[in-house]
Amino acid sequence: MQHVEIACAMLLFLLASPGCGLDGVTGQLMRIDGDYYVLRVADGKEMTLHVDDQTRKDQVVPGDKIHAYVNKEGHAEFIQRLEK
Amino acid sequence: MTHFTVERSPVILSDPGIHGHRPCCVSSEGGSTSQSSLAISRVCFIQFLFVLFGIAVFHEPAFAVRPFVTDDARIVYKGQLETESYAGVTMTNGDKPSIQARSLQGMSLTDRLEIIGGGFGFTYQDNQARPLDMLIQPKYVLYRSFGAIPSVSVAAASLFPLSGNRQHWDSYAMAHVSWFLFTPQESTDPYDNDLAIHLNLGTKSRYDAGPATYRSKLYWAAGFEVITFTREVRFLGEIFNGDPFSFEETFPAFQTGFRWYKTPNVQMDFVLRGLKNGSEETQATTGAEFAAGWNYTIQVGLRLLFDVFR
Repeated sequence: MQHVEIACAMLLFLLASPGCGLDGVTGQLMRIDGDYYVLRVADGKEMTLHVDDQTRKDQVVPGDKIHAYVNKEGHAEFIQRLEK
Repeated sequence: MTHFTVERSPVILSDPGIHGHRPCCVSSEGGSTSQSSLAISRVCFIQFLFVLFGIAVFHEPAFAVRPFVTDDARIVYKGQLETESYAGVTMTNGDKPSIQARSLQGMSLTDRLEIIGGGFGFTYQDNQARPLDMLIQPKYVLYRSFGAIPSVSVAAASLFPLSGNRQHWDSYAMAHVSWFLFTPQESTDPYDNDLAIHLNLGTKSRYDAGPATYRSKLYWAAGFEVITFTREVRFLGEIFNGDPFSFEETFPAFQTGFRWYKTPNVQMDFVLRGLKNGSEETQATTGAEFAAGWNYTIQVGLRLLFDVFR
């Protein structure tokens, strides 16, 4: 029984933890402000991604649904356009 | 694999005022870069210790895209449903061949957490069929990275016997380390690699309800996936200390074969497995009894991904 409690505590800890390394983000691209992409994610919030010449990205336009891999500073390393 | 057109953006200095994406391991309130890095390292280290502690305590288990055994440190996209089905024939040494089939289902609940469940299947040997154990396996990506720095994930699983024999309850727990290397310049999919290397380390355990004993043993696996004459067909090879689905299987065991990425959401596998057993009591992961000596299995697999909630 004690193991079950510890397992539950571990699961809660992992779920509450944000994780490390790159995060995967999916949302709809709202607008492009220079080198910043503003997208709306699932919960309705807006998120800004920074892109530069190191970012590998598909050709995207506002309205596209995209998936991005983003580092902790908000810099996008990969941006993929998802099928509409 | 899908290939995308790459567009380069002009260089710009990082703007400290960037907003919207809350850093995962550091406070969004900011702080110096060095402080942030320290905070990231501290949290990652604590997470890593926490998971290691968990593995050590439970002696439980992850797995790959079946029928391959070595698991990778990635999960399907959030909102995707996956089903992995495979079937095979095992030519046992000095015994009748066995047939087995299995299907696993999975889904990512978050960007980091995936749950694999099901594992419904059967094995048929010597005019006798029996159901395979049902599986539940959460998998969590601790660190996601591409290139020389590997990704790390952990998983644990319990196998529930569906047959009448409820004496053996198996489980496994493991950590995965994966290098996703050489993504072509024209690709925007970081998992579209020329070479991927995976290492697994953990334990597999068995609770025997008869004498009420609990045993654990080391589990490890190492595998790779490399492109062939075409990017859609990959060659895979792996060695492992027995299948984590089977407590009794041990090293030497290997699998090799080809994976065809028909589309990003449809994969097919053709696999040859070799397993050497030293005991006539040894059973395969399917429950089929293996004789001593080398036993070989030919398997075909089909993996489908559905963007249901994506």
